[in-house]
Amino acid sequence: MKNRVAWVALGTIAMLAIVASLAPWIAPYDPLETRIVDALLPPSAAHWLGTDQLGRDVLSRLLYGTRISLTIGLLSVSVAVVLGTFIGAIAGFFGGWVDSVLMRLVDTLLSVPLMFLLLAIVAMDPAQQLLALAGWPVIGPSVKLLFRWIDPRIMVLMIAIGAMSWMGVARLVRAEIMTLKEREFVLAARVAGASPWRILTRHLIPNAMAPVLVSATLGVGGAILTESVLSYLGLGVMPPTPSWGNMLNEGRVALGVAWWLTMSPGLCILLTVLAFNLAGEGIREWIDR
Amino acid sequence: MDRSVMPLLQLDSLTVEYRGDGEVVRAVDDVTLSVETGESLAIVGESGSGKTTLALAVTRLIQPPGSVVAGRALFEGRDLFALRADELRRVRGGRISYVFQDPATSLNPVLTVGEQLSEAIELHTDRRAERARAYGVELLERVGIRAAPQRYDAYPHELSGGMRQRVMIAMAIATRPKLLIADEPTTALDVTVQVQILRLLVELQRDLGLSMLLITHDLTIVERTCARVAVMYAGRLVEEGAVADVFANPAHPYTRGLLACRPAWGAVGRQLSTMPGQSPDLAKLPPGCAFVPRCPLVEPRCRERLPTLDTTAEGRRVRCVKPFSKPGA
Repeated sequence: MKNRVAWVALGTIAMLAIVASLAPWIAPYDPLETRIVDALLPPSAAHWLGTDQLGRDVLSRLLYGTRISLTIGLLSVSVAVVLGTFIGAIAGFFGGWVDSVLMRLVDTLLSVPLMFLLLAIVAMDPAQQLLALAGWPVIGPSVKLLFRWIDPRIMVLMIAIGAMSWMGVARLVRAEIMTLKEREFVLAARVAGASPWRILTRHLIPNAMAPVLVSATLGVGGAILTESVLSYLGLGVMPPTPSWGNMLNEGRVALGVAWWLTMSPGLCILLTVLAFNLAGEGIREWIDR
Repeated sequence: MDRSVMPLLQLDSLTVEYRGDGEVVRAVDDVTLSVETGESLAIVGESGSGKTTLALAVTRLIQPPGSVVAGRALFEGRDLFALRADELRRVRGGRISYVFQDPATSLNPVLTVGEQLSEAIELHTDRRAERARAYGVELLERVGIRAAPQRYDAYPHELSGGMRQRVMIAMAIATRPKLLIADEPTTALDVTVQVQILRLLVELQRDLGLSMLLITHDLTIVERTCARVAVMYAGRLVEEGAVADVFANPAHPYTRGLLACRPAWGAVGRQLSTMPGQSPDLAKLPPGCAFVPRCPLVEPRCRERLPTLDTTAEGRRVRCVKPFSKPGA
């Protein structure tokens, strides 16, 4: 039974991904095109989900917003997974003072209210943001090049969310590695002449990935939510680029007269986060079975 | 010393200690042993006798709080304890291979048989990846795995226990090592499979000219597989000699006791004999012979001083003040 729920959730995610990648072709209107004469039209055959205060088509904006929200969700979780796996694996594998230092860092970061730190970072202008995320002299610029097609603000947002949420993954991976490294196949690899680095990357980390997959899936939902909150507060994705969060924010002022402006992005956030959570649970059960 | 007359592996007064809570446990105490090229030596003892620790020490795998506190281990004339990390990695898996007790836990569950086999091959030979597959399949066939190409792509959980152990053995011989250490290689397997695996080990040892160090608590295995046997008790060597001699005339009371505990053919309905007492606490060994509390022939002098490991006329080494001798001698 549970299994079916997970499949439905995964199906929803797949559909969202398809919709997001096909947005330019399936969106009925240009999401940025304003037609004041068509402002605040309720849902109709011409505008399935109505229009906003500037006469932009809500459905089209929602489709493009899916792109932004999913991209931010997936990529910020990737940042968190890579960072968390690396740091957790190092801590768990080497133990001793290395472990102590890294885990105290995790404790410290976990005791910082994430949301306020994020607010502080995204409130700065992009150039400063890249500096603030430094300690990343190499990664910063290369990421920037890689994602030139993405608004640097969005990129910063992704990295910021990722860089602030790797601690859970690190703890998870550390615990896994600590139990795995006592397993006999690690001893077998050592007597076979494998170097510590090889043992870590080839034998330990792949074995520790199952719970990380669960945590990552659950994390995507959280990251999408974080993005929405930041955008809602006007600090995330900047208008006119549509994201579910800033669509909510823009619809907020017209809440009394145009319910469709907040309803559709709200439902999208709800369904997407729910789908990722249910999928994560499903994967967990599938792994633990 | 001339290398050609040196044994393949020579342990000199090897001593391993574990420290903790103010106690020092000597898991391996002053063991001197040698394994010749192409020879098979069994190390026999109860749990806690130090036989596995000895094997781990040879591959330098003793982890803190344990450490090798004295002695040398010469392999092909080189002191294993003086090797640099990269030299050691070449010896491990390359010149000395290891087969563990439980193949279910000593294979990596997320890698296929082929991936693990080719790891051993890639680490120690300069075979290319595409050749590695052909060689890997050949190895699987060599250790008696049917449908080898299919098994090459299987994951460990898709194989039976016996087949997994065959895979472990294939990995161990992949690099054409000189010495194979097998630590209780059949203990985790069904009895019928045990026989097959032992037969395979003996066959490989003979055909490839391997030296084998077989760690076991099971004397019936020793008889089938090895030419020489070393009996350990409380970390010390108590008797060592040719299997046929030792089994026919055990000289140490402990060896005699162990042999008496074996189930014999045709002994149906007869009660199995057991050895009284239990294996000693290594942290609180008596000053004299460690076997005193269980020895049927104990004398006052046994308690005073640790007996030396003496070589008898037949070339056997025994650590007892009053060894049994040949009947009528």
